[in-house]
Amino acid sequence: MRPALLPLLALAALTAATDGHAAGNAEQGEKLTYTCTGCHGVAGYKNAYPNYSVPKIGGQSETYLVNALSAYKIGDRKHPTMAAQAQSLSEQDIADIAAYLSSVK
Amino acid sequence: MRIIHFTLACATLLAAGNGQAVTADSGAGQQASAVCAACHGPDGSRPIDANTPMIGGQYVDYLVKVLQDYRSGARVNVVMNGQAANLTDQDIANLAAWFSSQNSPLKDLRDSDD
Repeated sequence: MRPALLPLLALAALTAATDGHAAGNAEQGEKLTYTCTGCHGVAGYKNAYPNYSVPKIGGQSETYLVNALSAYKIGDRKHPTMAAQAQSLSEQDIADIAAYLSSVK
Repeated sequence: MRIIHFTLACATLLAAGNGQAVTADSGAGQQASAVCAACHGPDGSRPIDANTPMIGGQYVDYLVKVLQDYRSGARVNVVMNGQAANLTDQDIANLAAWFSSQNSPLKDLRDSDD
């Protein structure tokens, strides 16, 4: 391999690493979801004002969960409790949580 | 009996306040669900990609809330805002009734603790 190719490969690897979402670690995600169970772990638990059931998120599509948490984090999706939760999460946390939740059987 | 009538009237009013004054028709919801199935899968539980949520087996009142928010624009998604724009309250109730009654891998987190 010509040495000149190495920087190109390094650049490609860097681009791949920053392109899209970080890979999620389900094991780490499980630890982070302890707080989630306070509402999402109670069957039929109701959100107040307006009153509707807190959604089931176990088994949900992984990228959808990343998008939902990211949208709460930046305020594109509105919900006071979820905004507060998501603001404390890093991109890696969100990826880990989504990896775990989507794997719940 | 008078008390029961009063209670029923209150329940109806409360339901109306939640935007669910209509009586859901799951069969009509199934008929209207073909367009949803194109992305979410026939039972709402086999989406075409990981961007698309499972909606089968989700709580009925959450599905109603989501569709209302897409219809009003309170929640933004290019595809769903367009899909929900022309739905009536009756359509939303029907679709939510149909999809919520389908089998699905979706669950509350408590279910996975064992």
